[in-house]
Amino acid sequence: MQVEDSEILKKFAQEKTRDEAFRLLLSKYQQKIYWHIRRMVIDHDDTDDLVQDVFIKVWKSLSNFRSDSQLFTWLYRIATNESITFLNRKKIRNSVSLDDSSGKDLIETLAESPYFDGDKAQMKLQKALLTLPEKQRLVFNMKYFDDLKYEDISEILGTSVGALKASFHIAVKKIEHILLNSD
Amino acid sequence: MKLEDSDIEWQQDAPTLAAMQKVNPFVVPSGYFDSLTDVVNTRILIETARFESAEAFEIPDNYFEKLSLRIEEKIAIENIQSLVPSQGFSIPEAYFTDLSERIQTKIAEQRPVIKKNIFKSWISYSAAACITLVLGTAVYFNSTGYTIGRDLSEVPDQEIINYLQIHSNVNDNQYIIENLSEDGLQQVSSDVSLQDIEHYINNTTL
Repeated sequence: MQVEDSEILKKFAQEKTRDEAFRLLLSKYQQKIYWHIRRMVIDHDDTDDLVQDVFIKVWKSLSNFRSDSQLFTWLYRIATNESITFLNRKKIRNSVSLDDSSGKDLIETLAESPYFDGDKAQMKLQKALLTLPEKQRLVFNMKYFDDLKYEDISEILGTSVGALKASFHIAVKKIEHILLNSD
Repeated sequence: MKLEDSDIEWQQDAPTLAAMQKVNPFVVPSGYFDSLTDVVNTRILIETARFESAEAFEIPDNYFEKLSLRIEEKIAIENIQSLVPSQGFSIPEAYFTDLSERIQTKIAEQRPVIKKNIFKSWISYSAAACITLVLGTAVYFNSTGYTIGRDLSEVPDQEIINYLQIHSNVNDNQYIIENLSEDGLQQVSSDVSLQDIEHYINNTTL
């Protein structure tokens, strides 16, 4: 049985139980955060670095966390920001125009990854996803793979539910088109 | 539009996607999540230690206030150096190659010549000879055990008496009296007649 977020926060607020609280938090959310980042940056080693960076930020900032938002949406927001920052830096490094998606480079990474176990259809889907703008990809991942509610995604991305629905709808249609029209 | 309606809508709009099995195609290295908690905790320890050690460093007063000014000065100097790469001075070819040798030669030329003072050294040698003579004499007499008393013991008594009669004076009398022993004094007084003593006194001026 997983411990409640409120319990984690209560323990973290006390100096004596802070380490224990953080272990509970890691245990509860490390995989969710890992997969959220991994779907965005594709490469395992990059994901590993980012996961560690995210949780270091969480450690430093958790004492300032206000319970007006949910803990998991707060964690997702930090992970999302770290991922976007990483991808932007990668784009600059690769001298790719900011208007283009970073898909081309990520498609190569995906194709060469030793840690991809999907079939041909899954590879096709992932490659189709990498053609989407980052925000559409984020929305699609959170809705399609993580099954998050639009309200939660709205809290994570700071975007209205209506805009998210539209974004997801566009993403779905693009992917369907690619799936139908590519080999 | 309800969320459920939205889901139904996208499945209708994208039947190929909807027909696909929703699986996670990505994998992680074996045991990755087992060690992730420890890895993150270790990173946090390192970060905390780094933060604390960074706080332990001190900087001089007003360091950051003056930093920008010093950087601007440095940039200005480098700009000037880039505009004027050399100082405009030049030196003869191979100047530094034989500079050291020329300095050594110059030093050798200017080294002062020491003139020997013959008079001063003569005095020194004379003084040394005198000291040696005195010390040598003293050592010689000391080693041979020479004394005046020993020399006199070798002179016959009659020669001493004759010498004293010829060369004696009043002071000698006083000295002889003082150094005569009790027996000697009695012998002298018993051997000399009263007439001789009277005659001596009358003919000797004190």
